[in-house]
Amino acid sequence: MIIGDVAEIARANDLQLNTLHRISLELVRERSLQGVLQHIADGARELVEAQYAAIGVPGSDGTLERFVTSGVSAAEAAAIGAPPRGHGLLGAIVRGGRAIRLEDIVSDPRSVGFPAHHPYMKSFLGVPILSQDRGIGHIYLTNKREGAGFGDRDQQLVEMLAAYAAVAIENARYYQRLSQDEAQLEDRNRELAILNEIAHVVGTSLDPEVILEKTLSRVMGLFEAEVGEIFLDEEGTNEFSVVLRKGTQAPAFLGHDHFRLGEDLVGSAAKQKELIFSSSLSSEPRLPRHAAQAGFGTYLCIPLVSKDRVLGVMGLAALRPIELTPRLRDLYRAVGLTMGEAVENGLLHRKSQRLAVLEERERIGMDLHDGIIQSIYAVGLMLEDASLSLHEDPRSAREKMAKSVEGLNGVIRDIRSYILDLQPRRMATENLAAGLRQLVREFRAQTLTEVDLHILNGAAEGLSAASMTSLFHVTQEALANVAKHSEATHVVVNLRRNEEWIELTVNDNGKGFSTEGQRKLLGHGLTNIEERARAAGGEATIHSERGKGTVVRVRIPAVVIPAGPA
Amino acid sequence: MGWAAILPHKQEMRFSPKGLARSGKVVYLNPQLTATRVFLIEEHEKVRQALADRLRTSAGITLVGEAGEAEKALEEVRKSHPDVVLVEIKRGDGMGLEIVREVANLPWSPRVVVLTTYESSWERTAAKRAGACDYLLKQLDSDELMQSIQRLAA
Repeated sequence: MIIGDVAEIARANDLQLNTLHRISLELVRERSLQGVLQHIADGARELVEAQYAAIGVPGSDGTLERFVTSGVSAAEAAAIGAPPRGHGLLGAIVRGGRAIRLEDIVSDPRSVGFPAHHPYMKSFLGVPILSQDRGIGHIYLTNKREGAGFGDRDQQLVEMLAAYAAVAIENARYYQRLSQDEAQLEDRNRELAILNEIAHVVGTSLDPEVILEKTLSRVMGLFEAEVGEIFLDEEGTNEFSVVLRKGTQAPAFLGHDHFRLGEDLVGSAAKQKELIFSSSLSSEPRLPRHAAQAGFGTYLCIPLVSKDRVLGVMGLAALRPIELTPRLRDLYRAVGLTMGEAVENGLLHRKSQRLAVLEERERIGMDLHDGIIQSIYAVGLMLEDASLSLHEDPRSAREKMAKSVEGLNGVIRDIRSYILDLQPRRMATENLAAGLRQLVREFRAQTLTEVDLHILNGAAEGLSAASMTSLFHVTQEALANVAKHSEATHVVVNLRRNEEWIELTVNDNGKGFSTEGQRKLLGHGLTNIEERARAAGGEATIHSERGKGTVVRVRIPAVVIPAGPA
Repeated sequence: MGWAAILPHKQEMRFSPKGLARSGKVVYLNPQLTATRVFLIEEHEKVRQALADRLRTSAGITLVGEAGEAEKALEEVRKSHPDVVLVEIKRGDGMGLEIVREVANLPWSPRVVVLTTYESSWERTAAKRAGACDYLLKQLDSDELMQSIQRLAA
């Protein structure tokens, strides 16, 4: 070799190294797999001075997942059409795991020829892209510019680039898996968040309407539904009626407001206690025609279940086709259970509230009967009697009329004191003494009865809020009883205390009652006083005798709250 | 007694004059004897007094007794043999329906009429089931009440 040749070779090497170096830099900067492969293809072509270069990465189904060319113009690529399928030479490279160099492609027995419009190719260098000794793709170059074919040096360089490509491809695949996982994680997070929101709504509200409203919105968001409906069987009659409808396509998706168990999609979901999902609505027989015509693609029925009983069904309709994976199925099933429980709780709560109202009404009815209607009825009878005996016995008639007037007065008193009792009352002040004074003031005004209030020796001070409330309410009820039943003209209210007890007494000079019948005669007022006293840790006693008035005495333990810093 | 031999009856049964007139076997000429014998059971004192007065002044009705307390009422009813017993079922001792049942089952089967202020279909059904033959609401024009009572015993 002449020195000039060595220098030439050295210069050529330097050039190649520089090119390689430049390529490496570009690769590092490039983020997308496509970009990396393109750089490698272009770089390889430049490095070994080939006319054409290409990189192919087969996918799991055998076809090329990626195919990148260099040196082929867009027009030529379009003319060729599909990328090579890797049967002949290319397949041999990948399977063999070794490079192939040829001076003339066509003459090699492994070649399968070229498709139409393919540019003429003679010399060939193909190098496998290896990852952990596994062939994951190939780089091939054709038509070395100068000379008959590609040399050892060319092969070395391309193998180096192939190594880069391997790393890039594996990285890209890893990243893709990560992205998928991340996407899955995001999905799961979103679903968990929605389940969480539903649980929150369920936990903070007892009103079935509120629960249904909020959860339907969220589930519609999850399913990406345009329409959502909820049907409930509130009476337990196996008839499901619509209670809520949401969505942009407002007219009832299913076209009906009621379903029986087993009828159509909703009824079927209820009967089977299982999700019903349909993504081919046009051929779904249980769906009215207009639903499919409206362009809906998917429908999901979720039965709302509690303790193995189906309380209702939620129906969701979406325009676009949706896939219901097993995981999503589980999710929606969970939603159905949660909502079922929530609705049942809500309905029970509503029932118990209604019962409470009914009980109250019953009590009011009884109270009204006990006093007022009877009194009016008696007066009516007396007047009738009076008018009948007017001619025969005018004195008796006059007596009866006087009695009637008296009776009516009594009725007016009854009604007034009844109103007094019904007024919802809360101690308006923080101060028991002021509260008692107010009660007494109002009692005096309403009943025109004399009332004295004695609070001894700071008995009303330093009490716990609970004690104050108890004493206030006991006084209120005792006074209400006096107003309703006693016909008293004088009432004394005493509040006193010692180290152990705080004692409240309400003493009236009314007509009293026999203690045998005491519970029945005083209706609820009495038991309430006893209950309150007991709840406060104390006791209540009531002494009464016919014609001798009544004393209500309540004692509760003295729990003193020490006064704060002055 | 004469007609006890004519008419078949169970050993314990004693017909009231009205009952006999009803049977058509005996005809009375004295109108007093055909008046409806009524017993009143009402716990509210004022109402009981007023009703009693009203019943007393009503032609065709003889008030044979009135009581508020349950035991006393049943005792007096057994003694006085009314045709019709007026019962207010709303009571402090809660024995309204019990009283209806007891009275309706008495040997001579007096007619029990519930007269009450409280309209409730549940109570109405319960009363009928306990043996009441009518359920009337207390209203201010009592002429109708008096007529119903008389018609019942007819």
